[in-house]
Amino acid sequence: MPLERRGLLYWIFATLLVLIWLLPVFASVLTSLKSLDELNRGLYWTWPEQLLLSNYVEAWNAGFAGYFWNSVLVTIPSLVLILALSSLNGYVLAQIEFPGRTALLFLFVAGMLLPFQILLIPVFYLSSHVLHTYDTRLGLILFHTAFQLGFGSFFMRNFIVTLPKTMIEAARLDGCSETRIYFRIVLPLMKPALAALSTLLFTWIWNDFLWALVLIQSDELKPVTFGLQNLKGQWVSSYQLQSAGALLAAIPPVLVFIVLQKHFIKGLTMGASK
Amino acid sequence: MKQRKQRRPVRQLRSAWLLLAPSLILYSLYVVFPILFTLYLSTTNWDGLSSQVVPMCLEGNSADSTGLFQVFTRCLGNYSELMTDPQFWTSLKNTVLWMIMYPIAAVVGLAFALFFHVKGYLVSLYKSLIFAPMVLSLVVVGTIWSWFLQPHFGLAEFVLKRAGLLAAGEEFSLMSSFDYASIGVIIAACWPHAAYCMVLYLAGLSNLQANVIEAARIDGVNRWQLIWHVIIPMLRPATIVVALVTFIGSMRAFDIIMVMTAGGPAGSTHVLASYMYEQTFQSFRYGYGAAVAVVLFVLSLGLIFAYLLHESAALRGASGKRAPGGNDAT
Repeated sequence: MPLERRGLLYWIFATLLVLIWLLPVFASVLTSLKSLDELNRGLYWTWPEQLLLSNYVEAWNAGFAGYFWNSVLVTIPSLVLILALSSLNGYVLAQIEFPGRTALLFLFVAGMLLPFQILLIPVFYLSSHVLHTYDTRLGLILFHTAFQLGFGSFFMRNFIVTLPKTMIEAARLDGCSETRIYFRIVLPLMKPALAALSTLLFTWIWNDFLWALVLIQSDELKPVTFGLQNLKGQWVSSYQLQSAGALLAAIPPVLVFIVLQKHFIKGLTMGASK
Repeated sequence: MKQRKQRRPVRQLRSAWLLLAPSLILYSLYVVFPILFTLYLSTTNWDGLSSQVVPMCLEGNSADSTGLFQVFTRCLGNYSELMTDPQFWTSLKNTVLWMIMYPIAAVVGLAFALFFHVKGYLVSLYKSLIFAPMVLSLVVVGTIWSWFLQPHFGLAEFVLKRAGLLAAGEEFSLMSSFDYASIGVIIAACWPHAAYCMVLYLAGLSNLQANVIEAARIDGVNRWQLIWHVIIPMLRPATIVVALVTFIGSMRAFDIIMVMTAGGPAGSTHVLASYMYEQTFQSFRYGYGAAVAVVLFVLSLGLIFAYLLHESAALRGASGKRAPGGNDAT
């Protein structure tokens, strides 16, 4: 599509649009920088009398540090597990022919489309009564890994299918084992797909709330989303703390997005358009 | 040579299943089995604690009941209770409302994509800023929007009053209204989702063939005709994906409801997913919650089948050794 140069009117309108779009964020940032005293005097939407960072410090000390760490300890292991397993699955589904392959692929795709709430009660049952992983990080990690395998395998398979088949056939003819082909030939070529998938998974798992709510009970194990929701109960009318907490919780995914934006966007569109 | 040719498929087959095994175990345990187990649980009165999970009709002294049909219907007790549960109908109605209103995000996303499909550094920056809400947790989005939409103090009320859209004495009471609170939550949820749709549409736009558009331009087609009759039809593949993620998203809505209203005021913003959660983990009626989950599942089945049907040609075609000519989509 040809992209002609735009006039001044376009830029005014575009700037306005971006500002309006981010208005809810401005509201939070502004509030998070104010003192409770200032808010109590009804000065909500004026420029802060002094730019306070103390709300962030207070929110952080109210338990955020621990919640952050918990999120890291759940997100990173899940991420590594999903990447390892789904790239293997992707390779098998794309490059080895065996009966039941299409059915398996369908199974993975169907799982990725589910409204996952229908898994809620059985997964709770599984964790509390069968595997005894209820209220442990492991339980949460196992669930995330299993559930994201659907999308991950589908994503990886779609990438690997585009790799030249002749190269792999040649390796097979030379007597190379499937594991060796995977590690020596396919894996090095998968770097862009792995990067894209990991940025997506990082955001999804980091932002998860529902599964932490159901599988975690102890405050010491709660991830940051659940922690924030918890603290909001204590900060009922302290909007400056609520805002500061919400913005703190947003930092990691926003950082990932800023640094790895290209991979993130590529991942979204790659997963979407085969 | 001959020997090798015979041995290879067997070896491949074995390694295929061997490599898949760990994933398949995990996946069946956490995804496949739970679907079946939810169906089973929906016939029980499980309280979440007892290790025995027995269908209602096989419980205790009910075993001596008369006909097979009665036994069967008693197993469906949760479902008949649903039929007369006003909160269930409210939740179902809200789930449908989500399905109808959530696509607004897709329209906004398309409009943004068309508007920002321009090259340049400044536009890249603008696009990133508009994408940003997409990576926020819905807990964060909910918190930010609750504050934004607050009656009395919210920035939304402030701006509306300044713009003269709300009288000075009036209160912006969207979130405390039984009828409209859901709409407030949906708008908040549309915010990150519109950004997501925009990304998908931008990718679609960059895949369009420039010569078709150029040809239409030369034919003297004006800008709106170009968008409506040429570009939007050509964006069909992107639209299918957008429709898919929007539909799934509307059925998965949960986090943001819990954060913004927790189902309130008086249950008026519950959707099936959140009502299911409430019945299960707050009222400890696991069986009843499972029945609600089954209804949600049935709603989503149509979508899953439609998508698999749509994909089946492509999935088989791309992975199988098909002749290039035989690529007909059926």
